[in-house]
Amino acid sequence: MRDDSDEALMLRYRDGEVRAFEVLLTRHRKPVYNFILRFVMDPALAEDLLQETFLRVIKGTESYERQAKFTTWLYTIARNLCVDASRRGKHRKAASLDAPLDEEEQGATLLDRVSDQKGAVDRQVIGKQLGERIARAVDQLAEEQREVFVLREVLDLPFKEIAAIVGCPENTVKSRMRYALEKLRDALEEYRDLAQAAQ
Amino acid sequence: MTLECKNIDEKLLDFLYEELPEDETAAFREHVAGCARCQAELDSFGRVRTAAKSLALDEPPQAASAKLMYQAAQLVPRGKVLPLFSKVIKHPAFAMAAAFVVVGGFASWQLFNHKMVMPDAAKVAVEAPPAPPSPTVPAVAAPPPAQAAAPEGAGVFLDGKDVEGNKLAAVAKEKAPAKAEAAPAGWVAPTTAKPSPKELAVPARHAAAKKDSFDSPLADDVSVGDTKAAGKKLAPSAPPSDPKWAPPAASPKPVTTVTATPPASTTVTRKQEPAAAGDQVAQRGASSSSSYGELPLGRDENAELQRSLKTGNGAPSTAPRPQSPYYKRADEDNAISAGRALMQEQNQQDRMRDLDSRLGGRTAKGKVVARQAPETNAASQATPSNEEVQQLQSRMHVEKPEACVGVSQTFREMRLTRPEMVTPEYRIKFAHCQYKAGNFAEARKELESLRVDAPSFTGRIDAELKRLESERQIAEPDVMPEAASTVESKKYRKPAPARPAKQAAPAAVDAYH
Repeated sequence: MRDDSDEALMLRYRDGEVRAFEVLLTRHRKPVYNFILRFVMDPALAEDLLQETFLRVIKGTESYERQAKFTTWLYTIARNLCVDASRRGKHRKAASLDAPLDEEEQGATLLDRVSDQKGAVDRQVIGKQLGERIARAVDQLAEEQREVFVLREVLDLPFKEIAAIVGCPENTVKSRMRYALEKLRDALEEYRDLAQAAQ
Repeated sequence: MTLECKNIDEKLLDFLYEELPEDETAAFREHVAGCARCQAELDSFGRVRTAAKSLALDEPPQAASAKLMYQAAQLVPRGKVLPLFSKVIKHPAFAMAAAFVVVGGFASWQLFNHKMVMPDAAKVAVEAPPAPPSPTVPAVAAPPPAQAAAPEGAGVFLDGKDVEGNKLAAVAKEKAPAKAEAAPAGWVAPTTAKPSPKELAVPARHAAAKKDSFDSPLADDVSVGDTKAAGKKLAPSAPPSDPKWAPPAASPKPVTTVTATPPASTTVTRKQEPAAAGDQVAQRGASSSSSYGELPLGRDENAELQRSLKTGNGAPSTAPRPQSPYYKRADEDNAISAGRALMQEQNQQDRMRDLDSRLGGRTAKGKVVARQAPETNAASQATPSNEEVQQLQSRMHVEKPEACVGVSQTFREMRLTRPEMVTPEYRIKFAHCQYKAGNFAEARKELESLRVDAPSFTGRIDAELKRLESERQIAEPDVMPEAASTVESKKYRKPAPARPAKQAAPAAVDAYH
């Protein structure tokens, strides 16, 4: 059963086999959770949305048809929930790297307070620091760019499927992805050497 | 940026994420190898991807997964449902319709089951398998059981009725086979399934009414509570050689043996038989009646009771007995009416008990003693004097109001509900009960009206009137016979107010003169 496709598992669950849903949940809960977490940037809210996402899958089992890919359907549900949550403004406000931490215009920014990691020689430490840096950079991306970046880079979904999830043409998705990569590249420019060392 | 580089930018992401077709991949590699700008662009994006791989994936909480699995198990689909039907079952009206169907089905099942089970119960009651012989200890002078000739199945109706003497045994002996044979398929017999002690007493009264001498119309009415009273009707003992009293052979029905156990069991704790299939029903009805027989009695009273049960008064009647009206109701396949009749019988029993407790002072002494608490019964258990015994014996044929109350109540109810069942014999019996209970006026009125309604019963009516008069003279010796009919009204009439003014008038006249 674990080798079955998502669609096959979904059909088996529709026929009353709970075990099939368990396999589906085990297979997709982590990427879906991270997608939601990158979207709303709130672990508690991400947990709620994760449950809501799979609950909608359960309730929509009877109407599920094998015409669409399961992941497309799944991430579409998750994305819609995330968009609704974002519109309600319940997601955590992202911290800006460039904005001053206090209300004074001359105040230090978060980027300024990030410690200089050039002295760190340990590759693992570099990788960890780079991860924290890119995480913050990803959080600074625009919502449509971030979701495309996460879906493509983190969840490894093809552009075509991302286009189906997001609901826009594939070229638009690629364009958003390119903008996201360019912004991240600029944000990580000063860590160029660290990134090369981490490779 | 050459034109070729612009085309390369469009395919850069596809190449970066390995979505570029094979034929285009080679051309792309060739261009990038010769273009520094495109190579630098590709390297920069490569570094971003490398950095993005350091993004750690957070683990979702396990609680969320557990909750989801619970939900999945609860909401698991049970196969595909037709869209139309799914809409139907989600409609609130469907729930109401389903509830109606369930309730209606249950009610129908109850009715059907009720109709179908009753004949089975009756069959079980009649064809109850024989139980082991009764271990009941015989009394001091145990009268011969009359159930030797009792037919199969009679024990169902006899169990627990032994306190009424052998009469009920004979009643059941006659009634049981008749019912078993006459019962057609599908016959509803609630009274058979659950016979009450009173149910058998009613035909006994009918049978007693047919006695020629009519010495004791209440002889068959020696109900549960009248055991002692019946025992005090001292009559000559039946000769042992009498075939009617011949000792029975091994009784095939242990229940019958129990029933045949003489009323001497009033002093012997009755041993309950292992409940056979159909006997449990009869034992239910016996529980209330047999309780009287287990009450502690005085030694002399007990002996007197045993003696009386050997007399003809307690002998079973072999005369054909009319069926109870309740059986006719059952024959009419009216289970509800039969059940109501059963309830009325039980209510009547309760009323009799209440009345018995209220009329304790008017009943025979032995009965009163039997109903007293054990601690207060100690004084009464002392041996009574000869004078007291004689006085009791002289009063025994008079004082049986509790039995008469049962007859009277049944008679009045029957007159209201089923007047066609009120036979002249029953009316005579009612009148007998009335004057036995002291209601001489009502008894006389009933007999006089019966004389008009049934001229053929004139002889028996006259005999009853004579008996009534003798009873009245004993109870009210100072009342003239012609005024007997108004005794009751005079007895409870308010005294006339004194009129002293008329008495003082002559004195005033004398003084004037």
